[in-house]
Amino acid sequence: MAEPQAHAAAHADEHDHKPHGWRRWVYATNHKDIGTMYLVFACTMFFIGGAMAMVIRLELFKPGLQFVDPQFFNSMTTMHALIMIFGAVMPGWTGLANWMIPMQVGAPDMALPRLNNFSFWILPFAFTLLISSLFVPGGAPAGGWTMYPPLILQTGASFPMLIFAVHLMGASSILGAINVVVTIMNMRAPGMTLLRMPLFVWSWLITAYLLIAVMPVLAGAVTMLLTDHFFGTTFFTAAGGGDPVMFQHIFWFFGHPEVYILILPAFGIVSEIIPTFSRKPLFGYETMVYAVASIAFLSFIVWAHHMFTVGMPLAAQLFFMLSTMLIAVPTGVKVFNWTATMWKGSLSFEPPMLFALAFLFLFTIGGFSGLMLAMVPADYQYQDTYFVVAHFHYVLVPGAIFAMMAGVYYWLPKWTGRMYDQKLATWHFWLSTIFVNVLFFPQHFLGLAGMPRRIPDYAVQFTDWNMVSSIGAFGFGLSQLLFPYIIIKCIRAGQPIGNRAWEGAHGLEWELPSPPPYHSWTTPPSDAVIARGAAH
Amino acid sequence: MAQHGSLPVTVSPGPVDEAGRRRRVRRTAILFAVIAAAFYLGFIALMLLRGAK
Repeated sequence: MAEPQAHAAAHADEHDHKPHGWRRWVYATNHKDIGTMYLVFACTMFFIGGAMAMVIRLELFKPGLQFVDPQFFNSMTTMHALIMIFGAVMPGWTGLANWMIPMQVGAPDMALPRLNNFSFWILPFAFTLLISSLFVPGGAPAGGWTMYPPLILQTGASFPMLIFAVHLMGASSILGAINVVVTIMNMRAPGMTLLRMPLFVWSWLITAYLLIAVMPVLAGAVTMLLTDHFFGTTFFTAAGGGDPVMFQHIFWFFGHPEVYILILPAFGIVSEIIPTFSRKPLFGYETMVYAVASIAFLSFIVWAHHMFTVGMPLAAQLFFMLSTMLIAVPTGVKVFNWTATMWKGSLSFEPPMLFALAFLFLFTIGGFSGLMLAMVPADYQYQDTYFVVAHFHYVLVPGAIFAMMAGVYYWLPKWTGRMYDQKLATWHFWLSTIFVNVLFFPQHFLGLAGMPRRIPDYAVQFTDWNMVSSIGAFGFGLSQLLFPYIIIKCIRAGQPIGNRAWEGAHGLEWELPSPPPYHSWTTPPSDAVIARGAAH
Repeated sequence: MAQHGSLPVTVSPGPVDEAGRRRRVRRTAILFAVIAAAFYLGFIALMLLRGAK
């Protein structure tokens, strides 16, 4: 063996000593271990946030106050949103990024492993702080996840807990995003050019840029809320010359790109899965990359469509309406390309493909209702109704969450070296898809009929569709219990599989054994293998 | 060397400029950390300037 190889082999051996017990997780620097921790954390938060959604839907099953008082109801809506956005979806994507990016770009690990450990371990502290605010005098924050002043400044003892928790979540996201950018820019195998990268890596690279730009803006906004509350400043207090509407501008300058932070990795995953189960290369790879980049750019210039009703000049309303509608163009390109990929393909419908197809249909419904909301005169009618709730839940549940489940079902055999119970996963798919529509579709009707959001009680004419929606919620919530069961069953007793779990799968991760070695690519993949994996 | 079909899956590592890569990693990380800090402080500074008018 030549000298450099001998050195490399010795080096790899030295690092393949996998730590055991609690030290493996607390001191984790391995991208797969950290990815696993992120995914377990996200799944836990998904069920905690889901339990809060059940409380909300239970209370709304029929008119009148049934189970909880209005203050607690508002805490549930606020906490549900914060936990699902910052605790379930964002860490879920980061978990998938940790697992897959090094394997997909031909790197042995993330570029900054200790930072990776730190950015994960911030999260349990942040969410313990946030959730424990339920038990302080005055209860958990109840002013909505958007934290609008002056309402949020009326929060009791939980206010500083909320602000500190949001700061911690932001710090974790920024550190994670820096790690992703640095890894993709510096750790790619020789020959893995930018336009050979899988779409999931591309979508995460762009997501990471968004995170680095907007999470500090949220941190700045909540810092100013903190100083308004405790240090006598009046950034957002009208009595002192401040401007509460300015908070909304700053918040949504973060908040709209945040929507794309939640959905862009979903685009990446669906772009991996549809070609695999269509047994065809992705249609229009480069246009997909440009479409993701265009969506990310446009996300910075549309923020005020969330606040048309605060009052703004006509020119501003027109600008934000038209720039928002412009997003339909790159999004349409993506939907067209996914459809064109399937055209005349040799399709099969395994669980990842089923979830990806449901994403395609149902996310598009969320996109269309978004276009309706973009129209200023129509938005005046829809503002703060259940139509908005239906819209963003279609984007985030059968959008982001379904794509994440598709990703887990796609890569789980690679991670574990075992195939899961596909029949049970198909049951999970059908139950989820039926109930998610029973849950959210009637909310469009409720919103159009004028039912406001964030209320624990409602007029009797809204009863029927609320009952249907709640039945859908209970069904959806129960059917999600299948998800961890399928994963645990797979880890314990799944059938062993080879390197390539799916016949049509391409990409570097499928060249590695299943499960992959502790360090993925200690020697870089050959150019021929990279070229084969990148056959877009 | 691992094999898949007729293609060699991995290649022997050539002379790797490990120090250069570490320097690039550090430089990229610091650059993006500075950008993040600039966004944080920049928005607060903008609000302060707006209030001072």
